[in-house]
Amino acid sequence: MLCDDLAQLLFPRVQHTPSEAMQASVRLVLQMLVRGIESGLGVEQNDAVPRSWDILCRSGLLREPALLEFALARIAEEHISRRVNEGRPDIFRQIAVEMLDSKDSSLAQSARNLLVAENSLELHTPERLIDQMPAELLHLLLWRVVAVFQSASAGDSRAYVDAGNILLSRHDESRTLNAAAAKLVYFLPDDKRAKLADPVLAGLSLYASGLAQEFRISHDRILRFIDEDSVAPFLVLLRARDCDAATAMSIVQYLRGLRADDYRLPELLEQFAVLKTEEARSAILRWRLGAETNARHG
Amino acid sequence: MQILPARLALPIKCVVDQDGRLIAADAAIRRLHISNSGHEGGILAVPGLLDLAFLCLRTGLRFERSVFVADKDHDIELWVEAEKQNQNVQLSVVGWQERDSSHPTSQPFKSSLIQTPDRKFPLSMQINHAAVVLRASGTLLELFGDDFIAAGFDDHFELVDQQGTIADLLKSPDGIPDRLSIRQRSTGTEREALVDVVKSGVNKVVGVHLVFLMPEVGVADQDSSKEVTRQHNSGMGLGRHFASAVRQPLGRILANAETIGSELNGPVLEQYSSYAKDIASAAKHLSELVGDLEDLDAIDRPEFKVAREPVEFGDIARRVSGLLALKAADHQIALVHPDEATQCEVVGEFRRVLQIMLNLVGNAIRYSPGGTEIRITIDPAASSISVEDDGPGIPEEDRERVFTKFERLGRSGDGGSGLGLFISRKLARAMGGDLIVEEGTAGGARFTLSLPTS
Repeated sequence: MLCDDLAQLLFPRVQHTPSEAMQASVRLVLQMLVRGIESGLGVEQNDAVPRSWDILCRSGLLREPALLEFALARIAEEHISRRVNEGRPDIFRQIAVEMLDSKDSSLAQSARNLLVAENSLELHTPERLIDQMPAELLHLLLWRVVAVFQSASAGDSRAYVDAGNILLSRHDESRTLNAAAAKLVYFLPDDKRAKLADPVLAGLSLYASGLAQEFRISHDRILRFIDEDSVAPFLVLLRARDCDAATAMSIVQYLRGLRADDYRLPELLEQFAVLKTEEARSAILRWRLGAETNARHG
Repeated sequence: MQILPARLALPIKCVVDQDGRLIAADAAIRRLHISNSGHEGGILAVPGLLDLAFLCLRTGLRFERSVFVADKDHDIELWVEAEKQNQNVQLSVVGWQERDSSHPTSQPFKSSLIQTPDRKFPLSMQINHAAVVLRASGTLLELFGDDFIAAGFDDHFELVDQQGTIADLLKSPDGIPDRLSIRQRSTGTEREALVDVVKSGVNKVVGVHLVFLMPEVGVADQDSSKEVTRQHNSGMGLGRHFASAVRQPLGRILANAETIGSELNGPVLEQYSSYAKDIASAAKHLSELVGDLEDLDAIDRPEFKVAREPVEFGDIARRVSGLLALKAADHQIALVHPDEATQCEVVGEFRRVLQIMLNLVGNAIRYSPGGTEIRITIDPAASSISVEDDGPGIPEEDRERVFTKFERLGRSGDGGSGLGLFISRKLARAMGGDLIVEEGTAGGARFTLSLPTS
């Protein structure tokens, strides 16, 4: 009996696949990363796709969860930034701007790195994108790309290795947007911390980093929660913060680019109202432990 | 957030060799290393720091990261700079912030718990005020699996000679006793535990630390408990350990198959993409099936018990509607639930009642045609709650059969396992109530869950 039922369960219809648009966006980000690395290695860029792309695809590298996570987070970041920047108020990113004048040189440097990184990201070039990669991810992708050119070159391939080492030595993780924001949040003076809960005052990066630090979820995962089709995960984060309903709705409205009279807001308010703070925190704890388990087991 | 005690001067440094051994360290890091069961010249016993050191060794790059460390009664968030020096790594702690470990979302990483079993008291755990397990010694994690963290205390244990649950005791104005007798649900083993109340900075009780008093027979007892679990697992049930073990590879199959199927890694042949999507779908359903079988395993145990607590059907109905609203909308189905004024208090276990209702409404969504509605109604006089759909209904002769194991009434390929209703009725009866199905007013199916009021 059990076997029959298991057999029936084995090949039911597919329930969910990412949209065409999302697949195309992810492919575009990954191609930009590879193109940025190839450019750093001195490889000529004449084709529509990077030269090592096909081999990398076949090697399975582009199924690396960390790379996909990075790409998806950049897409989410782009979506949210575009929505937020449409009506950017004057007080936007007030915390980082104030911290530029901090007497603590480390804080001031982090604020400078953050603002530079945020502005660089808007340029959307492959080089700027690889500047934003966590060091270990750049290390992983770089040496795979180098390996493609090494195996393809008939003669001495030492030049690719040397160029790779130079590229890595130039990379400074502390200048990435995520790292700069995380450091700023960590060292932020107590009198500024309350502002972190306000995405307008904090700016997207610091706001996401504040949530990331509080709930110990990665900055990139927070960005994806904010941008996901379903608002539910973000509502859970806000409820776990003990946000009141009015504040939560105004934050959702701001970061999701909703108008004040958007027909979805009453429904979201209803969803938010049934959430309990303790349940929200337990849910986040489970998300986090799940993510850590996945990370530990590759 | 508490900041570094004044006596600690930053930066605090240590050096780790290529095998992960701590070869030099300032006093504060040495203390963390020793308190995490590390020893002189041994592998650095602070998992977050060790991970960072290995990352630095592997890549040769410089890193600046925050690292969480579990200390005795609180967590510490460190800001650490890691730099490779010849064959070693120098770690410099430039930030040290102590964080309140009572916050359920700010618990130490599980890896640190698994790697640092408390040898003196093999069975110890910390739970929060809602009776959720926050920390546990390595022995308990071995016994109950990784899912033990974040599980409900009441899922595994019950109080002996005490009314209510441990959460009730935590809320009680009389306070919680210094010692408690606790029975392990799966084996019936009783243990006495020392209770250490955990308070927040404003002296509010936020949880308890429990240390089971059986040090002299700890290992033997642990082995016998394992044996009971092993024997149980070898029978018809799947058991928690098996379910935990299966979930993880299934999750990886699912993730990889979805990645291939959605062609995120570039184009693949059409039929391969289709195969990958089928694999992903099968993995998703197997994962749900494992969850059902795990429940089945639990309720088939003779010692299976449910908590008795006040449950309000109206609240349940609104929660279920909220949780399944999007799924219903996907199927163009409207969910109608009772208004706030409709209330009916019964006695049962809240999460089990919610589980039953999610199953009933989920089934109704699965089998109802688009453009129809699903009505959740409450009858306070009968202390019952019903889910009625406008689907094809269930023929009278099949109405009892749907509550038997794996009964699908000939349906297939819709993602159901044939266990949901069987489990739901078992749970309803374990709570002193029942679950029945009748013909609805519009010819669809109406499932009614009734529970006692006292």
